[in-house]
Amino acid sequence: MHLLEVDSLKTYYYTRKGIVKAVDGVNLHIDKREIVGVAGESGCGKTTLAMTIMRLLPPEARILSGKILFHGEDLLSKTEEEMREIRWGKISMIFQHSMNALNPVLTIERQMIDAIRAHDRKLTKAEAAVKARELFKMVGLDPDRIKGYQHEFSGGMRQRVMIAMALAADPELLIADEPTTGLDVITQSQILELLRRLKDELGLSIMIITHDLAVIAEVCDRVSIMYAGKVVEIADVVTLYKRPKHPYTYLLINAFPSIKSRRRRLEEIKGEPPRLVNPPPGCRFHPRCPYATEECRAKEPSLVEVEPGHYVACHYAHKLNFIMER
Amino acid sequence: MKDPILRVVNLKKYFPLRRGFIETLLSRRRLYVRAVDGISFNVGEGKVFCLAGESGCGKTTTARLILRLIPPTDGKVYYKGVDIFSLKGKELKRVRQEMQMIFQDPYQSLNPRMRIFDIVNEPLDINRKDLSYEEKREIVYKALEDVRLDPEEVVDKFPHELSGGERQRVAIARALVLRPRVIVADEPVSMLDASIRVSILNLLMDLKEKYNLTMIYITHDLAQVRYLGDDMAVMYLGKIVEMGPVDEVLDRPVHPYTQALISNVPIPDPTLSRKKIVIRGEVPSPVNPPPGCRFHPRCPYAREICRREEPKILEIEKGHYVACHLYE
Repeated sequence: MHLLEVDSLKTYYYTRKGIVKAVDGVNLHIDKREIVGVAGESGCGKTTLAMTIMRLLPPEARILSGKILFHGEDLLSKTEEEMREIRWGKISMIFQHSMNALNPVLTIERQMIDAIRAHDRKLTKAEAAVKARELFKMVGLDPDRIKGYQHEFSGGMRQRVMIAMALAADPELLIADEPTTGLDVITQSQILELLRRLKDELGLSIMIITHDLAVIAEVCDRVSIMYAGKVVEIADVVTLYKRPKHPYTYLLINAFPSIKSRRRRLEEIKGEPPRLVNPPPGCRFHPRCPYATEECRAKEPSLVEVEPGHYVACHYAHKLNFIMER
Repeated sequence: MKDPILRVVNLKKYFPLRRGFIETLLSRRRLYVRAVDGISFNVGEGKVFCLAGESGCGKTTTARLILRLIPPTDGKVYYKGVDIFSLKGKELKRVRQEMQMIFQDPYQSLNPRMRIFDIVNEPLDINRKDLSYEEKREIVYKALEDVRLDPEEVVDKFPHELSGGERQRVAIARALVLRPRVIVADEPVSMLDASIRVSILNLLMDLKEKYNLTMIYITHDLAQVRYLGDDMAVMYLGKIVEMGPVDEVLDRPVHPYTQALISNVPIPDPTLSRKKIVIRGEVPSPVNPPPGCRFHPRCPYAREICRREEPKILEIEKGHYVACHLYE
């Protein structure tokens, strides 16, 4: 049994401009002690997927169908009260830009204690303070600075505080939405190193949501690539970068300049990602795909396992073989 | 370098720090953010010169100084041998037309209440009063075609009707209509999605070739520097720490900061493993930068002299400069 399994999940937003099919039949799973990347461009539905797992959706969003199995139990059939135990307790999340959302007039210690006691009311403040210091050490911060304020912490340190808070109730799964976006290169590299260490030391499972394929390559074990509300490819990280099967994956990886490789002209992906109010019929990537045929315009491909652990949603997955030059 | 088109000499920009009323009463000393603190470099005609560095290193301030959008505290910028800070009136206007900027955020750099035609035409309206409407229209349409937009389709639209990539193309078209010689691009693709990014980078390169433009390209992303740069300077806390041809600096970095920076850039290839240089701490405040070499508190090789004396910039190989006591 997987730790978390998402099965044919659909989450739509009902807006005045129409129905936004943000997550439209998504499958993926995460095992214990594993870092899974969910990668895609803005508007592909990756954050909605995370918010659906956490059941933290705004009122205009509706989960139409599908299952989210956590230890085999469907989170979508839980009551709000049951969900509150799981949220932060079993599955916690670091939101995008949340490091900028610390309260500026309370000490970091006070905010940590609040977070810890929110899960465990039995703890006294003194006990919670001890735990806060332990968490500080765990994420590589100096416990002697815990009484400081937000403005005395740099961006990287604040992100460490957010990670410490997310770990307050010893969760099994951590969802991190763009955890390093906006951080400088060296700080980014240190935060990724921390996530990897937490996985090893605590046996934590981590889902990293990002638009940056270089970050995925640095830290993830497996990757799901999303495009326009769908998962188009899932594979372990080496397979995905060396032998991708979906044209979008291939083109996207090739669209990243690398500091290492010699300069050659990178291939462009024509067009832009579709709006999700009225996505193209058939395969959603077909208007931009150089290999698209009549079949792609008419019929939607399903996600099939082409080799053990490698899933692709493309009509031509068995024919297309991409070899990466890097 | 023979006859650089742009020469920056000992350029400085200090921003006075605004403080509370009481603090001002209690202390006479004014505090400054030393955003750019004495940098010099040359840019050859037709080259892409990249300014790289982490946030707060002063790269955007440098760009704004070069375009004379803000006055310098000290130093000179020579464009074709003329000091741009000494220019006035017509002369200044002419130089301004020849140097244009592309900003980071195409969601903020375009006026939301103007149609695309008017946005692209505005520089012509202001600077080229000699042209008739038909002539201006022709230039605008040509510029939109140059950035691979369909003029008929976009001229009557408002910015919100366009995607981020299309908006950045409009911003580039606007920069082109006055036939500039120098383009300053400040992180032009950092707000765009990965699949759009390459098309904008390729477009900039094509336009540069077509019109023999000189480009100053500002970015924190060394992969982009590798992709389109000819020469580069790495900045740290308002200073240039290393400078030279892109391949030379990226393949054989000599400054400990450049080395650390390069080793920590994520690479989109999971099979490549490499040693990352771990450096302590984070970038200190530019209000009160460390004495001596500004990198010394984080430098694994720091010695006594680094704490005391500021390193001079030295040419260690032809065209490859570094400011570090290790190489003196």
